[in-house]
Amino acid sequence: MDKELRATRRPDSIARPIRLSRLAWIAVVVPLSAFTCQPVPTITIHSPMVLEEVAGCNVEVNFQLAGVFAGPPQVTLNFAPLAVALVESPVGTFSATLGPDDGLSADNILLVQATRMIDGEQLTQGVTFSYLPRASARVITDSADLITGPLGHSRLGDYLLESCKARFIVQDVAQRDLYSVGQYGGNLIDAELKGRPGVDNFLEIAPMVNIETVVNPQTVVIVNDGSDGNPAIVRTCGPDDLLDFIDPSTLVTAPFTFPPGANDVDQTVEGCTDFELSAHDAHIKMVTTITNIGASDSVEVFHGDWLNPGGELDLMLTPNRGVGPALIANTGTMAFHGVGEASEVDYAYTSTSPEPGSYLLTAGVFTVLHNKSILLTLIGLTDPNTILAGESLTMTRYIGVGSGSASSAVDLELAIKGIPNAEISGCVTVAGVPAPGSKVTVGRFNPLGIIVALLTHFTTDENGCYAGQVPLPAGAETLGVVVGRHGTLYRFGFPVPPATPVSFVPGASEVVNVNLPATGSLSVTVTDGTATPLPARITVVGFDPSPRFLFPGPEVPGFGGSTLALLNDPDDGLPFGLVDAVYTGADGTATFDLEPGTYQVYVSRGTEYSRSDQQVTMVGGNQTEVATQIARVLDTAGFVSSDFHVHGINSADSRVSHSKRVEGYAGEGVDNIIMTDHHVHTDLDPTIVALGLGDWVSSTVGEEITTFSYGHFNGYPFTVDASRISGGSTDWAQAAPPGQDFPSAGNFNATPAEIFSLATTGTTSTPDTTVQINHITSHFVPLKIDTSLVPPSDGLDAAGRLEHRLDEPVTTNLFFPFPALELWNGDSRGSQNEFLTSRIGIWFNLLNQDIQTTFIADTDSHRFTNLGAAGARTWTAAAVGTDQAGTVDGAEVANMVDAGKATGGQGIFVTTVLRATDGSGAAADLTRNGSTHVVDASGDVELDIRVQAPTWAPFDRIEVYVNATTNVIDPMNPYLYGATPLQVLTEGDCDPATLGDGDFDISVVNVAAVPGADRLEADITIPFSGLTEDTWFVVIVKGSDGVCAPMFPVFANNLDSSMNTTLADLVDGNVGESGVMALGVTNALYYDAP
Amino acid sequence: MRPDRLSIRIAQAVAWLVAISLHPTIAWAAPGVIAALEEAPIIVVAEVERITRLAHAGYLADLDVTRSLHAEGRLPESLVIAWEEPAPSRSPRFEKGQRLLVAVGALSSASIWRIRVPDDAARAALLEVAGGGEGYLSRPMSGELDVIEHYLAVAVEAREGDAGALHLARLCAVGQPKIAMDAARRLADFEGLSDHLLPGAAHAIVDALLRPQMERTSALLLEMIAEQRPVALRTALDQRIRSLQPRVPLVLYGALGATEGRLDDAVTETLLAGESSEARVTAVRYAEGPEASAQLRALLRTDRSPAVRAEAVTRLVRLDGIAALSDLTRALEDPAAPVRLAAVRAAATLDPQAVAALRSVAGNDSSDAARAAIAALSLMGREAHAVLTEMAAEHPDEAMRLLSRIAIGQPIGDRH
Repeated sequence: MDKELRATRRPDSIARPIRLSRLAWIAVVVPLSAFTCQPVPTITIHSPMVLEEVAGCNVEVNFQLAGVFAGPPQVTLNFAPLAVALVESPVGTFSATLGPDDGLSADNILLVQATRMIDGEQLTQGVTFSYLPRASARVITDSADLITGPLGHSRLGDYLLESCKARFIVQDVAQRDLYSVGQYGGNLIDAELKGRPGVDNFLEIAPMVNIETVVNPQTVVIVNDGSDGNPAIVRTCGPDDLLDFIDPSTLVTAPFTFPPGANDVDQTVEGCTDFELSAHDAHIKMVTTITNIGASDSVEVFHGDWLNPGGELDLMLTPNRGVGPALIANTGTMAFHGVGEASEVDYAYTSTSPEPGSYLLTAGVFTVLHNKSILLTLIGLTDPNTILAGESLTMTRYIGVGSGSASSAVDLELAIKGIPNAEISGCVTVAGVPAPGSKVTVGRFNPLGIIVALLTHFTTDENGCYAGQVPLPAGAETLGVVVGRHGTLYRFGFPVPPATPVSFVPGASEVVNVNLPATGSLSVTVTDGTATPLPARITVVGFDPSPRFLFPGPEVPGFGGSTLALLNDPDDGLPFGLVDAVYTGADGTATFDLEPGTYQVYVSRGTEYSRSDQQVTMVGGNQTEVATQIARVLDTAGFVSSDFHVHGINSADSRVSHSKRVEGYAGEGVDNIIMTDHHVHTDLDPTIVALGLGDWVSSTVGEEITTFSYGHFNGYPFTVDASRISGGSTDWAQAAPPGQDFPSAGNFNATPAEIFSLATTGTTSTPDTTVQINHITSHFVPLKIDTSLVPPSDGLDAAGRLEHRLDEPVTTNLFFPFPALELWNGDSRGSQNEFLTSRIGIWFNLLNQDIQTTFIADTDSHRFTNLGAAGARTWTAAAVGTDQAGTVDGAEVANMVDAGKATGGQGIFVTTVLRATDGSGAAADLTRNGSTHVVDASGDVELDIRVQAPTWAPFDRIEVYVNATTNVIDPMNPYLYGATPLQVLTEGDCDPATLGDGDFDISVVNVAAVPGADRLEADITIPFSGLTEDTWFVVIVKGSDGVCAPMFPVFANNLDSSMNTTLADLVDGNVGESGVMALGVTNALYYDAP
Repeated sequence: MRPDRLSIRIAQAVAWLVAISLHPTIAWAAPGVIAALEEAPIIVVAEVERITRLAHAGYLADLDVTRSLHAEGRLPESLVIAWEEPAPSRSPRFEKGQRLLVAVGALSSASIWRIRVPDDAARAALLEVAGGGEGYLSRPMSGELDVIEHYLAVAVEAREGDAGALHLARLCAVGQPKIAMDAARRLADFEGLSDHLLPGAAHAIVDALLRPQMERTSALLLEMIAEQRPVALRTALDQRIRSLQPRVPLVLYGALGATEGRLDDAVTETLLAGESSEARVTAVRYAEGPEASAQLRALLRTDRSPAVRAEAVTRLVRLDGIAALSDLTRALEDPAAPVRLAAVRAAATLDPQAVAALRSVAGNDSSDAARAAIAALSLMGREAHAVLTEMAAEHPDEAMRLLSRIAIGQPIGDRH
């Protein structure tokens, strides 16, 4: 007998795979036609060979038909039709590649059947073979093994674990690099499905030893390379060290109780983590063992994980949760499923702790306690776990990777925990057309047909289809299936997604197909007065006929869940009154789906541009086209605008992709994006070039130097150190030998002064690097710096310093005069108010002591959909040739910050000139080549104020602060200060057409032949006489609440929803209906007394 | 290792490994020493001659074998066993001169052993400590060796029956803590234990409860008794209590209460009158009858021991349900954290009847009681959730608003 087994027709009674040992009976039957004159038709299987043991992940099928057959061959694997299509080349030779999901089992039988033309006889040829694929673990020596994508951080020398389905990378050890939870090496940093490269969106998971400490791996070894057919295993081991990024004991203050045994405590423990991958799995089994290596004393720990999925990922929690972030919850399974550019990837985290644990999500980072309640721990009602001398504690969890649907995590949990389940599959269409990216949720529903507890959640694939498992822990159950899609009505046009009841039985399969109603398509083209396409923002104002469906918390007893959604993560949502907001690209166009209905469509490009709007009525199945023009209406020559504080996907607490960041800021008309990711140096220039937006926006590399408890500091410009994942983060926590990164070992954090030094003299610093204190409250309050004291001084005692892991003696003043203060960060009324009521006096206290510090206004934007990029900004003086987007020089921007030549605003651009009146012609101003100081022999000066604003940003009030008096906000905590202006000018009714009704008038200036291309202007001169001492001048311009209109929808936040219930309400100007008011602030000009 | 000895051991190993290769795959992941003993092909008593440290926290020990408890094939006089420590800095679990009972099987095929022992022949001679390195007893006593030998002699399927229960109980009674604890865990998982608890086994469990310095085993057995309520234990307990009168160890009353779910009034009375807080805890835990609630209330108010007060509030709520609400809310104000925790947990069993009362406790300040009330509400269902949502927005105390937000999962703090 040759190597092939031959058989006649397979008896229909054979319905299940046959073990190899039972296959010897498959006999060779030579057809009678072998004795005819014609060539004998034959089937020859070349691959796989009989009894072959296939150790690879794929099985190559190759066979040949010789002779004349009626029709194509029928091929079965284990008596089921072949899952993949056969390719015929050359004629008569057929091949296919079978992968791990194509029905292979350990023992297999492949049958090829074909019908002989001459007599209709069916020939059958079969082979049996084994499929024993192997996982592997190896050191990466070839860059082809690296995992890539937005958060693909693997490097040569890291460790790859590879199965037939997925690839995971464990970072090499002993690689300190301050970056979120990834401060140390030896942890899982990348994961991808095989065949889906370039989409890594996973940052890192670090095993927690005792809340504030993690394992700091110093050794790594391949325990099993997988060649024996068993799981591949990589093990990393090391001592405990502080995770410097985290210092929760400083936040958990009375009346809460931070476990004292977990506050910066160095313990006699060592941790090892085994990363284990089986050949058939798309998940890593992570087993961490914490061993008490002390001789006699026991140690007590709250153990778990620090987890920062990091990427462009929505969150779903099980059991009984919805889509979106819950702050604290029982540990079930966490699904991180991709959206936007990450839509082809998802990640799962689940554990098998014998006792329920919990997790707390803050700023994008999960604190996971494996077997303790965080809430009870916070109020001192939980005891730690004890590890006796020489003994160990072990925790096991599973990290999975999938193709973009949260259901992957549910499927993983069901498999690991053996929970009964049923299969569900189906496809979603919109008016009969497949709808990729649709969301399908399965859950328990109430009598009204509303889902109240989510069990699994799908995102449809490129064909609009989905498949997975539904948990049925209590057996058969009737559950609801709901479907939604962005820009599309819910089924039947209902305002809430109706649940389709489906009865599920464990082990059974259900198919649920859903067709959604036809939707409309809106196409908008934006140009300026010269017909040049503009990157801009299209804002659809109105009411969503299929709004996000939110529900609060869990249904069953347990820890709470935040407001969660049924279909989409609500974490990053549109402001009230908006149905959608989309940015055009370099071509000035955008096309997107919009539900049938009537809306007002606005086009804008930030403060410097006019705004257009028109009403549109969308009809299902139709495309509506809008062509509109806007124009630049403010004259900002000699200045460039920057957002000095921007986060993106590289930050632990932001998931905005580089593309979205660039498109957003180009559309908001910001000239320069200073990327200030936490601990990361991000360069957006390649993205700007790739999107063709180089003429519209520039970028500067910065870093938010992020201490946990005593402030954040933006440094810029920096270079990027390509050898480090962080790009060269500033190590404010200061490295220590392994196992000794504790204050008790004499290793401390950098003081503010040291941080400034590190930022300006580090390896990625430039001669121009400058530093601002961000959201200054978070610096001055925890360090108890009272700026009214001369000099400004901190009030921390020795214990307080130690709590912040600072070592300086109490005689050393922790106050350091950084060049700039981020006084106003954000896009909302709240951020304006915080600046004006409790921060402004801190700045003025410094100016009053001649500590000349620059005011910065920016956004601190972390999200995208909430239009956070549309917020405060700062214009710095610039030389001719560098004062346009695309030509911005980051070094010059930093120099102008140092020089105080900047003005900030949201809707308003205000500049000042302080003129001497002694005939010298001297003047102070904010221009690049000017000086911010002026001397006048007479002591008399004139302050020229020039205000510009687009007509949609009306203003009516000018406040002039001169050596201002400050007032402490809370006498018990004298760190926050307000201030009183010396002079206030008001316009009257905020209507430029009404003249003479106030202290000044506003003119309307048309600047371009484009409808609405007007600006508001006011030029005021105020004399000051008899100055005998050094004097500073700051001007603030506002639109008053209830007098002027808010800037909705260009700055869309905070509109009073109760006063706006119709589209007409939303577009009626909204005076007195809250919203964001126009605001502009100059930096100080200084009169120097002779 | 000297070459001559190595060659001898390689030769010895060949026969062993042939035998081992016929043995079913060892379930290395199975926890506990008993599982390792059950599944290992070789179990010997031996003395450690020498320890050799290998790379990556691996170790070898040369053993002089003195006795075989279980072996497939002829017993060699010496063995080399291998294992790895869970942490590189941990001291090796064996030392020279140490006497061991050790279960061993074929060395793992993991590639790390090729690094630790590059020589194929030398590696082939190695045996690995079963149970992921936990398949051993240090300095085994003859009594426990005898029980182990008898246990292993029982057919696998019969270990789930009377004989298995008997030997596991005996291991609890005579084994060193490691295997006694393991045996207690096995008994806790034993299906229908009461039906398999013959008098000998019951007496062995009673013996185990009375062993000095075996508190963890004792506690595990008490948990098991409370869970399984093995009536077959009653006679053995009664006999022992009678024989030890008047100085009956408290643990026996604890076991009796766990078995019956209650204690006789006279016993309760006696225990409550004692000085020992442990005695009062035991009495409270199983208090029942018409006087019980009043007694518990009194104890909750006046007993100086937090453990007694914690037990009292738990029992009171169990007996009286919502009628104990005022006592429960008082317990939330108790100065001792364990009492407040017990009250939190007890309150959660009164969902939703207790929601309004807890709302009231949580309503005014950030005291211990208010925080505990929020913790209790967080363990409840939808009505409690609504209350917490309201408090997250409106509680006059900022800290309590924060805690309420945490309890219902609302985000706290800003992204910066």
